[in-house]
Amino acid sequence: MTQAATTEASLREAGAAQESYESQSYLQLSWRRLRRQRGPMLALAALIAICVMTIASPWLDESLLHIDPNRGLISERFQAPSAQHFLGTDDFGRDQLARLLVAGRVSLAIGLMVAGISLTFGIAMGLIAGYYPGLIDDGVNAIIQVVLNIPLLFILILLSTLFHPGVVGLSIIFGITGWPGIARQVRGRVLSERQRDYVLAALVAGATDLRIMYRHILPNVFSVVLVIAGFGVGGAILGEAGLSYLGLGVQVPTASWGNMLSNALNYFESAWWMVVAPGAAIVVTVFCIFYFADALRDALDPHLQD
Amino acid sequence: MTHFIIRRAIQSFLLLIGVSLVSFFIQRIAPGGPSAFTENPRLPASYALEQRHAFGLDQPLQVQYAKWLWQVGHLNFGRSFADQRPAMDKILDRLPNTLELAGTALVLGLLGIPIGIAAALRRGGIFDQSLRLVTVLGNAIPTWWLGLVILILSVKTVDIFPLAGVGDGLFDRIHHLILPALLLAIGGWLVYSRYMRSELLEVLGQDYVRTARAKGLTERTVILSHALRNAMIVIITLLGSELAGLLSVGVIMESVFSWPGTGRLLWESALSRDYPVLMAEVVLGATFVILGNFLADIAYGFVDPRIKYE
Amino acid sequence: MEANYWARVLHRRQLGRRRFLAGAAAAAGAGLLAACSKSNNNAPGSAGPAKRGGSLTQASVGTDAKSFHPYLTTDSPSAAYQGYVYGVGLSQRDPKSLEQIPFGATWTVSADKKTYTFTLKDIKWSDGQPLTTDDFVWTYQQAIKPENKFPYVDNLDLIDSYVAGDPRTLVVTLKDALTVGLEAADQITPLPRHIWEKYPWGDPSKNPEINNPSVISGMWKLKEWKQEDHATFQANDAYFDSRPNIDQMTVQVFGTPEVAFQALKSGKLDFNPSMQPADYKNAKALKGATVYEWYPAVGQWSYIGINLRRPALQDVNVRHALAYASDRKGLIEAAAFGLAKPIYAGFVQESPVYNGSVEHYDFDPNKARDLLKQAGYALDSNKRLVKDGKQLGLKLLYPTSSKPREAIATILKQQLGDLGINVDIEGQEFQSYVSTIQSPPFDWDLQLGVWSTSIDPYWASNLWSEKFVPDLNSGDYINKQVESLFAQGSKEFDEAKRRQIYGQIQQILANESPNVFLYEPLTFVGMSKKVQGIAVSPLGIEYNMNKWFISS
Repeated sequence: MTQAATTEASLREAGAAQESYESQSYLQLSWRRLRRQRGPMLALAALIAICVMTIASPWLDESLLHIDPNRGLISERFQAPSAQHFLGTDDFGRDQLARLLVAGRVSLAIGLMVAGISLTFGIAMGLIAGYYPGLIDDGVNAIIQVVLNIPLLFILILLSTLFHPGVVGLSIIFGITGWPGIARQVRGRVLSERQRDYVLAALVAGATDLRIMYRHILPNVFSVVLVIAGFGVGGAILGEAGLSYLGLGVQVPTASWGNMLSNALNYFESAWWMVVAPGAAIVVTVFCIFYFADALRDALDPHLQD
Repeated sequence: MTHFIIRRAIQSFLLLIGVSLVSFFIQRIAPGGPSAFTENPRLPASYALEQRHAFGLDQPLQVQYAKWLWQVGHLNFGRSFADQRPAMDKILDRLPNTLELAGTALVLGLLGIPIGIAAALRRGGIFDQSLRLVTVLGNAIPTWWLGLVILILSVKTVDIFPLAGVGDGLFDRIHHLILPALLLAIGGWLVYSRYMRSELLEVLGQDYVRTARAKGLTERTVILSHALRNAMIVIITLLGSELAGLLSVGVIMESVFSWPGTGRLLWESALSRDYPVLMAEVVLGATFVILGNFLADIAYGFVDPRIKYE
Repeated sequence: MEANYWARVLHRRQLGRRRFLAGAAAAAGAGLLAACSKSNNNAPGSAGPAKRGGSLTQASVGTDAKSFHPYLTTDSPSAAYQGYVYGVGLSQRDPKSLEQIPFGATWTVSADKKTYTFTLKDIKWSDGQPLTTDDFVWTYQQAIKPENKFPYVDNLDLIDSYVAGDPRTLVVTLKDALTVGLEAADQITPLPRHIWEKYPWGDPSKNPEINNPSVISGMWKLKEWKQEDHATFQANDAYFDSRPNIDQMTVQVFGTPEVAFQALKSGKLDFNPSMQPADYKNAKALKGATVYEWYPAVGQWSYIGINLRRPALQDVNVRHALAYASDRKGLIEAAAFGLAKPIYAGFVQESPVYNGSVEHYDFDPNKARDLLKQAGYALDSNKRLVKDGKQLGLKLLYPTSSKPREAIATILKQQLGDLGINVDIEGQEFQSYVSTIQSPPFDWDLQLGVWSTSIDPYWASNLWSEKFVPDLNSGDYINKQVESLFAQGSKEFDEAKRRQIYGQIQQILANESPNVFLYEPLTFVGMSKKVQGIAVSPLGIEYNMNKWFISS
């Protein structure tokens, strides 16, 4: 099943969260509700810990472990986990733990950038399309439909040959293919919001379109957006891993969890630790992201209030 | 209704043109030419130039596109650069395999619906909590990785899975189908169950349900009549988007299971710049998407009386 | 660029073997000879007399074959399939001496060495019709027609005339007296005229023979082909040498090499010719399978291509420094897991003209530093190698589809970096990689390439000739002396003088280092222990495939 379908489901729920509440206090209420649950809070804590460790990895590697994650001795390749190398060494003799941390930066960066790009673009286009009916809406809609209809893989392969993408290039490509889905959702939201009394009131009071979009509609769309962001980050990390398997992801010598994982599959028989480490890193991180986003969606849903 | 259909048909047609146009230009901008021309480097550059000329690749892009469009209008998708077979034939050869896999996965995935209903009814309980856990965990593991690991581990332990291909004969085909279809269905269970759960919860909280309960209808009737109606909407929405991703559903899965499907064909054609086959796949894929959305919308009209098409 | 095309030209009618290269890149094929000397049954390690019957399943990893038409395809999987069904030619190579010996015909050579007169043996097609010189001539005539677009039609230019004397006599006259003459004359794989002339030559939708050959001459007859899934072959009873012992052979296509390895391990697969160097140890540890290995006469060699258009690389000291700075042993260890031999001047050790006494440029970073100093580079305070204030920066290109080359790139970056050179490695998808190194603006300094070899050195000349810039000769290396030496060698029939000429070529190549020559990899395959009759030779193992048998 597609990631799009998941977010589709989540949006329909969170979308129902638009009530005539002032958006701020509604969000605060939801947050308070969420905070009480143990599971999601644990996930959030784990995520923060992972982020901190990966961001700090260059310093960690240098000062704490005294290891250069990009250098290795061929004579030390394929060593099983030991006191010297907690997660073993890889096919170039590099320490896996050090490398895993540095790779985490790349993977998380990709996740966040993809979410950022597709959200920015998606929300902007969605707002415009939903707010201005007629030709503009049709126009944006047409673009959305076209991009959505071209097979993702096709775009990925061909664009990646154009860009020879590094981390940024990959994020752009993912972002480009991701925004239409978001825009479509946002547009739907905006369409129904637009009819509401408070918008009409603001119009009568003389507020500009931009102000209405920004001040009044966006906060109500915000809850929806937050959830999509969560799933988007996780999806991008998984997507990068898949691309690496096909040979299109982040290229060596830059390490990412995706390319560490796909590289390791060659050595499944002889060096299982090479497969387990990046695999576990991806699964744990994505799991925490999804779990938290899922709980967030529930917390924002007024129909699930106790 | 007819008005709606006609309008949709025109929209779809324009959409197909748009998709093909964008795909066409992306293909041509990508560096490198068809590998069929450059595979033999012994021949001087003039050979590749001759070939490009013979296939009309040196003409301006608009002209090439127009020619392609004209051909497609006559249902001629050209011949593959790799082996000169008609491009659409190559795809149609593989299509049944992909449909078989995706279709089975889809049907198996529908099991998610009763699971979702059960979760909604026992909301907050152990079943619901653990379902969420399993759901999210399953979504977090890359399916292709899981598939590869299972295959390799199965060889080490209980050697029950065939390792490649589609198989011959009904039972053999089913044997080959089990593992990949199950893995793909997992995604379906997750999505359908979550979706169903939230839909049902929303429905159960509505006024008319409370009224029904007050009227004395059994829990069963309430659920069956209202929940199922919403189930239809769920299925339809998701089926629509499923149909969309059908053709390239699992390049990686097809690679791991050595499944001769359209996903791998798309992959190979893109890598070797086999333009005719690429364009044919894109058009076919887009057609599936449009068809899926169209059917979904029509079905909505029947299921939800509030929606009217004119 | 993978250039096993000439190997395929010569060996199209011979059994090919697929080797795995991740992705859709053209695999480096090792064309082998479908030889079969009549009395030969000295297969070492064979368990008793050969038995008839049984079936063999082999793996093909990556893309499937494209078609059975020997004159339309250029990829290795297709060449392999074509070899299975159309495997009969005029000559073959002796598995031990590698000399050319009669196969489908015997021959005599004219005094001026330009005319070869072949006398065909009594060969039949699988439908009982005799295979005559008419088939040969008709096929030749189709192949040279420009509208038939035969990819290797240029090689047929060596032939001046190709006529049939009588149904058993074929007279081929070459334009020049070349030492590679027999190969040049024996380029045509005959197709059954009485079947093929009914259909258009190149249209698979109108010519059923292209993807479903019904009348064949080789060891195996195609029973069924499910593209991208598997192909099943049956022993050809009418095969003019002895019919294969094994009744049926299936080639199963695998999407990934890991799964193929598991299949061999679990016994679902009998023959895996597409294993990766990383699997060697595990393969040797398998209980149910044997690993056969050899350095092929028609093999491959890896090299670092140098773009001689770049000013920095035009200085021969810099190129020598690069050669000294490349740790061949380390690279062999890292990229090929130790399963390779070094190569020094563009010719493998198995080549009949190999010259081992050229400069080896054994790993010596100190010498490299000295040479760089001579070239005007000095280390600055940050340990960077600079000249005129700029650091020596090189862009190293490689195709992402090749894992060994990715490994080489990674290590070179590290090792050259230690010298102070900034190496920027860039992996590109295969078609892009080809396009970048072969077309303007030639934006690369170094690239990691692989060439295929041929037994006769004649075919190697294009690599170093100006005519083939920028395709084969992507680095723009121009040396008229080398070109004229190649021309000389092609006509020199005195063996000693010939070796001397090619030896001189290697000397020049080593001195000028237009490439940094790295290594030639070992070929190894996994075979289930139940398959017997295998005899390893520099030609591989498939040359006597009809002698294999299944023991219980």
